[in-house]
Amino acid sequence: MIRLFHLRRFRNAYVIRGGLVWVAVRLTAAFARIPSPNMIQEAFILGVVVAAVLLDARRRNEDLFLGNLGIPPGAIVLHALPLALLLEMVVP
Amino acid sequence: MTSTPPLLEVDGIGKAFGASVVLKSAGLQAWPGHITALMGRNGIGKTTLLRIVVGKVRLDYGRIVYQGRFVARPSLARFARAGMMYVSQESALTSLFTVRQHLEAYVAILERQDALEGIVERFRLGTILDQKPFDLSGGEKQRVSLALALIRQPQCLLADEPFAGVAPKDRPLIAAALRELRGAGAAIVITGHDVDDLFEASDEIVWMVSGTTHVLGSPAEAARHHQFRREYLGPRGVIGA
Repeated sequence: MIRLFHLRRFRNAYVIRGGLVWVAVRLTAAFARIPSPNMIQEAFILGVVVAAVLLDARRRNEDLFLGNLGIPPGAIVLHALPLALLLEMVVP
Repeated sequence: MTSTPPLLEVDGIGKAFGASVVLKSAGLQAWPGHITALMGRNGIGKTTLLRIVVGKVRLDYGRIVYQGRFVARPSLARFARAGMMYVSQESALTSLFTVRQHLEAYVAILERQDALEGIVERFRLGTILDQKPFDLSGGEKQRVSLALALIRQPQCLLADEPFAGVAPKDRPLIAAALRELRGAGAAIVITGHDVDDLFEASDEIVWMVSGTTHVLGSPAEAARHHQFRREYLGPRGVIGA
C-alpha cells in the first residue's frame, strides 16, 4: 500500500475522482428527491463512489499497472474514499 | 521437462461464462530459464487462462501453485510482490502516464535508476517518451511493456500476445528481450498466433484446443505433431522448425 504514495499522480487522481463521483452521485440523489440521505443511503452513496472509481481504474488499465508493482485495488479504495467520506460528513 | 521444479504450475482449470464453457481442463507449467508458448485459435481461451492465473477472472475449478505453494485466491498484486509480472494483450500501460512517466515510476519504485538510459536506447523509445499509450501503436506498446519488464526483472513473466501488432523490424527486439529475461532465469509464458516468432522464441509449445491444453514438447517436436500440423498450422507447416 505504501508504494502508491510514491506515485503522486495516481494518488491525486484517486482522491479527485472520489470527490467528483461523490458530487455526481449526490446531484443524482437530489434529482431523485433525496436531498439529505439517511445513514443507509449515505453508506450506499459511498459504496457507489468506491465501485465507480474501481471500475474506472480497470477501464484505464490502472489496476494492471499498479498490480504489477504489487499495489492491490484496496490501495485505490483507500485513496478514493477519504474526500468522499469527508464531503458526505460535511455536506448536509 | 527439467530437473528444477516449475515456478508456476496451473492444472485442471475450468471456466464457463454462463452456458459457454471456455476452459474444461487447461493447464501450463513455467520453469525458470524457460519460455513456454501457449498456442491456439482466436477465442479458444488463452487470454482467459492467463487472466485466471493472475486473478483477473475467477476460476470455476482447478489448481494454481506458485513457488511451490498452493494459491487459493490468486491476486496480481500478491504475485507481483513474489516476482511475477503480467503483460496483457492491451499492454501493461495506463492512460494516466506518458511513456517516460511509466519508466520513471518503475525505476523509482524498483530502485533501478541505472537501467533507464540503456533501455530507452535499446528499445528505441526516445521519440515516443512524451506520448501517452493511446497515441502509440500496438507494437510500440509491447516495446514499452517489455522495457518495463526488463526494468522489473521478474522471476515469472506472463505475456499475452507479445508479438501481436509488432512491425517486422521490431520483432527481433521483442524476441531479444524475452531471451534476455530467460537468460536471467525468468520463467516465461507467452501466447499468440505468429508461428515463426513463437517457435523461434520458445523452448516448449503448449497447444490449447477445445478448452484443454496439450504439451507438444519443443518447437521441433510440435512441428512434427501430426494433429497440430493438420488442425492448427495447416498445409503450410512450419518453416525452419
